[in-house]
Amino acid sequence: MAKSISNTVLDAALAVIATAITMHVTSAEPANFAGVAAVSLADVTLTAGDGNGDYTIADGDTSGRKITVAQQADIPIDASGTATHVALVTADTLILVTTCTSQALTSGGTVTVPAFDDELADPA
Amino acid sequence: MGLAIADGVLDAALGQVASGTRLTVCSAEPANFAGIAAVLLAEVTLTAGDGNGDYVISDGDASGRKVRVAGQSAIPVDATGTATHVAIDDGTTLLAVTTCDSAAITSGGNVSVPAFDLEVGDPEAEETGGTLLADVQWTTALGSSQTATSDGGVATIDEGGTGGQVLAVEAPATYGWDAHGPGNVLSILQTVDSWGHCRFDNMFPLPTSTERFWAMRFYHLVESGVDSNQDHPHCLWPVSTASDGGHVIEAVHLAIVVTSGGVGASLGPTEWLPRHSANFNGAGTNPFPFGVVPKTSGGGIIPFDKGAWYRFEHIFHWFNATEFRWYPRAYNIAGDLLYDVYDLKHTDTNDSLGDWYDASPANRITRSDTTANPNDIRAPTFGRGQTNPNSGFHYCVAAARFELRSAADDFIGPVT
Repeated sequence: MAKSISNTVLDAALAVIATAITMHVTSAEPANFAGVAAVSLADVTLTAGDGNGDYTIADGDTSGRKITVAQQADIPIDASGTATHVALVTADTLILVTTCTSQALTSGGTVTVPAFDDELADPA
Repeated sequence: MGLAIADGVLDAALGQVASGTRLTVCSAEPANFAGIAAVLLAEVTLTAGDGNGDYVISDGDASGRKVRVAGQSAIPVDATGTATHVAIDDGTTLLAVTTCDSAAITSGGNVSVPAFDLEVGDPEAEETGGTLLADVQWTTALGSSQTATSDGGVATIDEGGTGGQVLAVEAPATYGWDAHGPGNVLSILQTVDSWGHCRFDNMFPLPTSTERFWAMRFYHLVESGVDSNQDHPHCLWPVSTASDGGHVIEAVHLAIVVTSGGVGASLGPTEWLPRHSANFNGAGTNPFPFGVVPKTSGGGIIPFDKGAWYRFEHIFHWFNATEFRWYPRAYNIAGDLLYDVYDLKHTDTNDSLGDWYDASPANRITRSDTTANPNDIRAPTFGRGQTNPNSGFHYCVAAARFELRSAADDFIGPVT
């Protein structure tokens, strides 16, 4: 059956992503919030909420809706290691993990995470 | 990018669906809540909330999460028509619509709607543009401090050599850069009879077995002076050690040259030498005045205008840890393409680098210094005067950007 869903419905999900207040660049995929600290190489504070600077919710490119997480430039590197993932967390919850291009990071330097989209398609 | 998302994120969406308090059977797809009344054939009240009887939220069948809407039996039919859609609303908002098997129903009868799922799959992340490695606009500070010239560490710049140059970040208006793009200007003034360089260290991940596309963009201006008695004065990536010819790639001259092998050195099967300064009437082993090597033999160097900004773009298409193709481009500040891979000619054959690429998939440049100098290949270098660089040659770089891109023609493009 063809299905369509209200923007309100999908935006409710994307708004949860937009509650994340910290982006971590990590050396592995954390399984949960408690696991982030062990693999975090760099972190940067995000401003929660759609339209507040770090998140933009809009129509999806293919269908549905998407959230764009803004580029985070020059994030100070706290620990040396190979960056493989980027994680978004609230104060107590791991919200989202995405992979990134594997790159060696050195403590004391900086790293930039480009903007990326997460798109929720209309339901199947 | 692969992406994992917390169940709570998707459940927030499905929870919205589960807030629906009415299911309607419709003769057409309603555009919104107000549109339901005109197409309504039958309706039934739902109990809102996951697990309350009419909605169950759980893992999706393919990925993500789903909400199952319970089957509704014997819904009284209020109007005669052909049922084509089922909608859920909460009294003010149309939350979801799905199609159903087309069926003629008659007022006064009953209709049943089987259970159905609405599944929201895990999202796919989409990078916007390439993967940014560094965007160097020299905005941290003016002056000659390491903090300034490295743009606060955005670029790890090594001012090497024997003090043969002066690096400084200067205000953009000094060189007219403010009319073209953001940030300040890195000024490089060669002052003494020796060599020196300004090198961006380790800007790219080392080549591996993974196919990658390094991309670099920078703007370049020659302020004054002539660099005619220098070896490779602008920008280069060493490709191999001196033992096999010391190939370097000149990112401003747009050439691959053999340094220690000398001009006119015989070419091995993996070496490629575009037309360069063999016909230039200058002194030195590899005299490269500022300009692009001409397409035809005997034409000398085509100069760039002093005091004018040019945009240089480079893609390094790495097939594996050692084999790559280099795609250089030069543009004027208006964005007109001046030179690309088909404008660089082989010294011996006069074929272009692009022709050589097109001739065979096996025609690739081979890097050999993977052990002696493993990092040099990812360290683009501005300025490497070796012979008499004390001409007061003065040049500038602005808006340097380094990315990983997705194709050999996926250039970064002009600064915005």
